[in-house]
Amino acid sequence: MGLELLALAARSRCGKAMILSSPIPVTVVSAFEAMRCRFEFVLVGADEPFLLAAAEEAQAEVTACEARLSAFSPGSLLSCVNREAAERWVAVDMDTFSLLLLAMRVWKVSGGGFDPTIGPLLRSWGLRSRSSESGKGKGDNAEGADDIPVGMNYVELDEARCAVRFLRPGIELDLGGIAKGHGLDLAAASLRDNGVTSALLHGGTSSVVAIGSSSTAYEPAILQGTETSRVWRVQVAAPPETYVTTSSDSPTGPSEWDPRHEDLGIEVSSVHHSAEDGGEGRGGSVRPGPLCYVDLSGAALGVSAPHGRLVRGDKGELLGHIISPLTRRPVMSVAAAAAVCDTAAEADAWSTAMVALDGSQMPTIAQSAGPPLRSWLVRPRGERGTVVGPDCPPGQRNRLYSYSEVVI
Amino acid sequence: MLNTPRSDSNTPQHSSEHTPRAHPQGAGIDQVTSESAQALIAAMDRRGFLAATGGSLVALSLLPHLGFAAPMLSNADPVSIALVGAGRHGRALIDELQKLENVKIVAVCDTDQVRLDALKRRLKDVTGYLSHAELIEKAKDVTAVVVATPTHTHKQIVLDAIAAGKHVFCEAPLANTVDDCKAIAKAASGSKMVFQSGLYARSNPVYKLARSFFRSDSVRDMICMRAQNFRKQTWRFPSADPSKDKDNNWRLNPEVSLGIAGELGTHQFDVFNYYTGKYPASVWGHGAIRMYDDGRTIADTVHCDFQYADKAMLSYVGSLGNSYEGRHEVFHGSNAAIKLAWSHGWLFKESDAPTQGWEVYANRQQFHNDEGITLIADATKLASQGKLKDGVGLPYSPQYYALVDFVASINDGKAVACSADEGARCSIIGICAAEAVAGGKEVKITDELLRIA
Repeated sequence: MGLELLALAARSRCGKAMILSSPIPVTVVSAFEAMRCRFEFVLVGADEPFLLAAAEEAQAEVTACEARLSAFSPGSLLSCVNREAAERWVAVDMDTFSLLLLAMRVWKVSGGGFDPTIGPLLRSWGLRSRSSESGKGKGDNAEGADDIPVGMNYVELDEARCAVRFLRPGIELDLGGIAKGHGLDLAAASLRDNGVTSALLHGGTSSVVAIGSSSTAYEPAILQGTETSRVWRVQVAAPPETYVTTSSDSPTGPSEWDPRHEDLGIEVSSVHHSAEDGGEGRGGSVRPGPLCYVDLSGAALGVSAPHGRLVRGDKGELLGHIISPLTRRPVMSVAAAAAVCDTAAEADAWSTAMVALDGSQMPTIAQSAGPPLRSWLVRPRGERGTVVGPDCPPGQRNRLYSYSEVVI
Repeated sequence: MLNTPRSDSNTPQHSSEHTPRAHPQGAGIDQVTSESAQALIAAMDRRGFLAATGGSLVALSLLPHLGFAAPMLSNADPVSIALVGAGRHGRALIDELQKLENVKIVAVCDTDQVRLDALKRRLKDVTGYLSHAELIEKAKDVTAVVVATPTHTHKQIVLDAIAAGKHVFCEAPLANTVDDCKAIAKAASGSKMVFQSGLYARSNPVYKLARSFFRSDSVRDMICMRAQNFRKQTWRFPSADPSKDKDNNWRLNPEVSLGIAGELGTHQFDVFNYYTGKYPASVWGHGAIRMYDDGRTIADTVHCDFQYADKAMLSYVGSLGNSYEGRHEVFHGSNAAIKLAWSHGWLFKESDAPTQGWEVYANRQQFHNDEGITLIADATKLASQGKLKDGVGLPYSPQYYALVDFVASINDGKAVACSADEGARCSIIGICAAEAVAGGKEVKITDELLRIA
C-alpha cells in the first residue's frame, strides 16, 4: 500500500543552506522517527526559518504524544492506565481523554469493528511482542484467543474527572491504531496555533493531515475538471492481490514484492506511477497502480491494510497484521480501507474498523457515523471491485475517488 | 586523582587529594560494588547465577535503593503545583507530573497567550496566568512552583515564589549571571521550604547506579572525561504573535542566552561534579555557526576544554547541526570507562582490568569493537520478577525521577536531590563555559566564584 503525494516539488532541508525569508512561497520538509515509523511534515510559507521552527514544535508534539501513549514503554501514561485502571480511576490529560472518547464512539458506531482493547489479543497472535518484530506469529490458532477479555464495554470514562477505569482485570488499552493520527492532529494544532496555513503531514505514510492547500502543487491531468492547484492531492497505491514471498522460513525474507517492505503511505515525489500499468516498485518489481485519490484540504486521511505487516500462520500461510475484534482472527476478506475524516485519529480509527467490517455494512454504518466520516473506501481482497462512499462528484474536496472513477 | 568523595560543604573542591581505593576484587568487595554488581546481573536464570557465585552476593542483593517501577509516594495530601513556563520543556514536565498520584496541577503560567491556551486545553480544572506575579498573588492554593521559563527570567520568579512561601523546583541553569545564581541560592537557604535545582542526573537511577561504580573505583585512575550534546534542531521557536518572537527565541539572543555550553552543557557538567565531587578550575571555549546561517550570532557548534586542579581534563562538544550519538558523558579510567546516555548506561572494562566474577552474567551490548556491560537500575528486583531485560533503559524520563524526588522532599522530608547551592555552582560553571565560547578564550573558575555565601 502506498500513498503518494503527486508531484510536490519539495526541497529537502538536508545539508547546509543559507536560510532566508522570501516573498515567494518556500517549502520545508521535516522528517523524523517516532512511533516506530517515519513522519514527514511538508510546510509551505514565506519564511523558511519560521517554518523550520514550526515544524520542530509540531514534531515535539508527536514525540510527546508517543511518550504518553506508547504501549511499549512502561513509563508512558498509557502503561500507567493499563497497570492501575482495573483498581482505581486514573486521571489523564484532556488530549488523551478526548482520544479515549473518540475511540469509544467509533467502537460503538462500528459495532466493535474498531476496538482499542485488543492488545492482549494481538499479543496472543504474536503481534505485540518481540516475536512480532521478526514477523513470527503464533499461527491461526492463537492459544486462548477466544478467552481473552476484549471490549470497550469494560472501559469506563468519567468526563467530569477526566479519568478512566477498567471494569475487570485483564483489560488493556492499545492505542496503536490511532496514536499516529492523534499525534498528527496535535502537530497540526500546533502548526495552526503558530500561524502555519499550508502543510501536509504524514506518519508512517498511513495517516495524513492536510492544512489548507498547496500553492505549489503539481497539476497532473489525471482528474480532469477538478481544481488541483488548491488542494493536497494524495494517491493511495493499490494493495497486492496476494501476499507473495520467496522465503521459506520467514516472512521477513526476500520477496518479489514484499508489501511489508513498503511503507503504508505517502511519498513526497515529483514522480508518480502510471495509472494504467502500475509503477516500478522497489527492486524493480511490479507495484500495483493506485487504489484511489483524494484531494485533501483541511481534513485527514487514514489508510489501513492487513498486508502492512505479516505474520506466518501454523500452516505457513501469510496472515495480515490486523486482527478483527469481531472474529478474533486476522482479517482475510478486506485488502485495504481508507477513510477521510475531520481528524487523523478518527480517520485511523475508521480505516481500521472498515478492515474488520464487511464492506457491504459500511453504507449503513457510515450513516450512523455522521459527518466526521466524510468519505470512505473499502477494497475487498481478491476482487477488483471497490466500495466507495458516500457519492463523490468529481471536483469535490476531501472525497476519495476510486481508480475506476478517475478519468484519464 | 579525582575519585574522592564529594564534599557537601559550601567550599568548592579544586584540590587533588588521594583517597585509598577499595580493593576491587575478591572478599574485599565493598558493599557499593556488590550492590552495583547485583544491579548488573542480566542473566535471566537467576538461580544459575546464584549457584555460580556461591550465593556470596545474596545478602547484599537485599539492598536495592533504586526505584524502577513507579515510586509509591506517601499518603500525604496532594501537592498543588503551578507550572511557570508553558514551552516545550514545561509541557514535558507537565506530562511527568501527571503521572504522580499525589500531585495536583492547579495553575499554569506563560507570557505567551497562544502557548498558555494550548497547555490549558490539555489540563482539566487548571487556571492560566499571563504573569508569575499574578499567579503568586491569586493562586493561593498553590504550594509548589515548577519554574521552566527562560533562564534569565528564573531569578525573579524564584525569589517571588520563595517569598510567598512556596516550594520551588527550578530548571537549570538557575540563572544566566553569577550574581543571580547566588541570589537564588541565598534566597533558598533562607527559606524553610523545599528548593530543588533541576539537574536531573542526581535523580536518575541509571546515573546513580553508575555513580556507585565510579565511587567504588571501578574505573580506577581517572584518565580523562568527555561529553557531547548533539542534536539536529534549529533552536528557533515559532511565534504566532511577531511581538513574542524575541522572547520565544531568547536562546538565540546573546544578551541573555548561555548558548549550547550553558543552556545544555550545565546539565552535563553537573554529572562530572556529581561523580567526582570536584569542580573545574578553568575552561577554554570556542564556537562557530556551522549550520544555521540565518542571522543568529549564538554558535550552533561549540567546544569546551575544562581543566581541573589535578590536571584532569573534560572535553565537551555540542552542536545543533547533527544528532549522531546524541547526548552522553564518558569517564575514561585505567580499568574501565563508564558511558552515560540519559536513559542508558554502560561499563566498558579494559582487558587487563581485574575481574569480579559477576561480569560473565551481565547483559552486554556491542558498540563496534567494544562491548559494554549494560547498567540496569534495580536489577535485583527485576531479576526476581523475571523482568530483567525490561530494565535496560529507564522506564520513565529523567524529569520524572527528579519530580518524584521533589514531591518526596515536600511530603516526606526526603533530602533534596540537588540543592540550590549545588545548582548555583554548576550554573556558574555553565556561565563560565558560555563566556569562554563567546570570547574564544580561557575563563578561570575560581573558588571565590563558586563560593556560595
